[in-house]
Amino acid sequence: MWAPAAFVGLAMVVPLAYLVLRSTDATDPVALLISSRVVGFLSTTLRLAGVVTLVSVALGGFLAWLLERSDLPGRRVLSVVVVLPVVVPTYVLALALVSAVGPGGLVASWPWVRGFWGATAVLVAATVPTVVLLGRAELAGTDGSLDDAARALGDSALTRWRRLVIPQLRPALGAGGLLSFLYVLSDFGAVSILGVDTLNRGIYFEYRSLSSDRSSAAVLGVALVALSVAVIALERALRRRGAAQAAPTVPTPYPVTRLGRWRWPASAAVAVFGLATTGGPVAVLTVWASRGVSSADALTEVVDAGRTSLSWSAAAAVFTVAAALPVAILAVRFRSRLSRVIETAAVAGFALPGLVVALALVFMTLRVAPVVYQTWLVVVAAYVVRFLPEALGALRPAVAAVDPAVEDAARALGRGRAAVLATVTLPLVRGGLLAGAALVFLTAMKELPATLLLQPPGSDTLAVRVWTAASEGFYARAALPALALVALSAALLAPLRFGGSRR
Amino acid sequence: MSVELRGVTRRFGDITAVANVSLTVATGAVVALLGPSGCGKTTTLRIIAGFETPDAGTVTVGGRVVTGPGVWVPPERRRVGMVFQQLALFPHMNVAGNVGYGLRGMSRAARADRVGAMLELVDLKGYERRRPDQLSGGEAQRVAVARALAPAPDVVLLDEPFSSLDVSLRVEVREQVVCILRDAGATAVLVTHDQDEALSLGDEVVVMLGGAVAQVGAPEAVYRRPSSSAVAEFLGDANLLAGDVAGGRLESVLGPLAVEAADGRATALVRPEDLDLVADVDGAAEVLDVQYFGHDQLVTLSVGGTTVRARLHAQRRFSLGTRVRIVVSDDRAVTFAG
Repeated sequence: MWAPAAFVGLAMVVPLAYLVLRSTDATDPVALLISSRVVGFLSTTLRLAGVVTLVSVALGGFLAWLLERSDLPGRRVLSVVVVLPVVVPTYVLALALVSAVGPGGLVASWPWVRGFWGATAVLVAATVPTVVLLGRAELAGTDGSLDDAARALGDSALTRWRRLVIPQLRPALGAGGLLSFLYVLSDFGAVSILGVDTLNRGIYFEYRSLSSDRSSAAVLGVALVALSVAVIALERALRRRGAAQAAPTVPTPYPVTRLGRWRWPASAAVAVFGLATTGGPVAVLTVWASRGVSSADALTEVVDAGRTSLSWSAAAAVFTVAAALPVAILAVRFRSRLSRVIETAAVAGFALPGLVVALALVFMTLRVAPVVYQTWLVVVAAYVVRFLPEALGALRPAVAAVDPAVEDAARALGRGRAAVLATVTLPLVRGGLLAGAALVFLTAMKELPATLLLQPPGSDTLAVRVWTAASEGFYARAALPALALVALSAALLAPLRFGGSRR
Repeated sequence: MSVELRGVTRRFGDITAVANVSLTVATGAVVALLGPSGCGKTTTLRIIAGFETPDAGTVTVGGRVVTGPGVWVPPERRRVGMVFQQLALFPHMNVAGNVGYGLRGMSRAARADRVGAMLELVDLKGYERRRPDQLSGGEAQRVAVARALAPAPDVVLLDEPFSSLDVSLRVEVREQVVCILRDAGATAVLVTHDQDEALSLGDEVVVMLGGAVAQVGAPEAVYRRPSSSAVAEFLGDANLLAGDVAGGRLESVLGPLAVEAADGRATALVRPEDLDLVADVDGAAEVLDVQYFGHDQLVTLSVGGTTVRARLHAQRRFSLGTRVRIVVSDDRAVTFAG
């Protein structure tokens, strides 16, 4: 188990080394970093990430509480509606927003939509579901007798909110905030379509510009990684190490808060939020698509792109899960300093924006194996680096749920390690393998920046088609592949259980 | 000899979990490894099975050295069967799949025959297609035993196998399991922290305390003639009475006891069930507390400044503060130095 896991760990970090190496080729990296242009990118990035994180955490935390602890009418439906934007990539949301109410839009023509506030709206919609899911999981896991105890000790409803609910939510909101911040740092789709000059957009321009030697893109890439790592480190430092509380085996359900006359207005507000983030975009895109599908060519284009998306994502799912399995087994069964290092390396992709992973792979393949440059192999490699943490997230608990005594029993009955893996461990973690593969497949389908940089010329994925058309303002041409992408994602996500943990 | 341990030691950091343990298990014997939690009994079992490697010592199974200087046979090649604390049935296989898992290099028919024979042995004929989650606690227990016995191992190791069962089921199931082991003529090592279990099931009881073997002997021997006060107290309620020995008699608060000890200071063991009480207003003892258990009762008494406990039939009731006379029904006692 050590050898394959160590290989996976190394394979995750090596590309990054090439990125750093390439950035040292720049003539004067410091001057570049403090140039007014780059400082502008940096401040825009931080402002956007800060605003989105604050709004997402506040909104997501409140929604989580409403859905988990109150008597909101239609909770079951609404809890699915609220997390639906998960299937809509940011560039599709941005396309829908700008083509509906942006300059030359269907409904209105507000110039400010193409810019900072439009991007804020899109990224909030994209990050709220994560905060809601984390918050609900946290709330559902707390024992209801806590509330009874606080009541018995004389706390009013509002005091209990302040003294119990908010502290309970804090770990989830911290994690959700971190994820939202990193999400904005790595987002390329929304900011590029809405023309917000973040670091990501800057990197892309540097990379594509003919005058540049690409080393300046590498410098900005390293800066972006450093920023992500700093944010993660800051969150770790701020996070309070709460004492692990032994959860009662049968937790008492938390008492439901009665909303009274706010029930229906609250329900309507949540429904409007859900509509604005999923139903609305789909409707807008459908109108545009109906205008765009005039020729049969448009349809064949989408079918071709769909085929490319599906096959690359399938390959990514298989390779990622195969890479995650030894790491998960090592992390659960053979705990040591080295296995923790390997695990950390394997989840490094979490802090790496797709664009940066792509840049690193470009530099690495050009130097090490130029034959594979601009082949699907490199695209899939980028997916594996980016999405290994997701596969691990699904696999690790599945492996941890396998009782080690069951494996010991198989060995005592005369089977070697390999045979035990094949006949006992793998069948028992099948659910985790499938969930991990499905998750990677879904995320890979929506991936834009790495695909954009690494794809072989001429074979576009759905994501690239949407982005290319949208960034040139051809809304009608962008709408059909966008709808196809959303439909495929939704079809895939349906079997994966998500949403409420209670009821 | 089916199993032999010599000088087996296992350390975890600064803690010595198993300290220089030597023991032998005769073929066909059921040996109970008894001790409080943390005494190293489970580690010892896992060393025999090959799931732990000792820092020193030799383990022989079926006449073959499996662990020793320069020798280490992996668990899958030790011919050792194991029944785990939480049973560890394969949840993705049915009963037949579980029992047949260790049978390899056999024709399909031979394997089915063996599985059938094993299920007959544990009285679960017809359960072949059930899944582990469709079995009761006792049935799952017997499947685990059948699975461990199926490949005809040189020894079966049972790690607290009854602790996951309800108390009401435990006695019944453990009797069944011992019957099965005896019918199969299996050699078995049973790890337990439960004195009743060890004393009632083992042909021989190995008492482990603090990582070392404290005493080995037949159940009655370790209970009636413990080798130390620690063993005496672990194996049940014990009245430890200090006194002076002179000419084979120890003067205790309960009167003279016949002992085999040199003259001088010593501590004698008198089990609470060896005491009887007679109501007597002039008695030397006073009833301090009565714990009523239904089938019997434990009476705590104060006599001559010492606290003594007596186990009596439950019919006779003594109220607190009653003065009684204590009668020692068996005045031969074991002594410990000091």
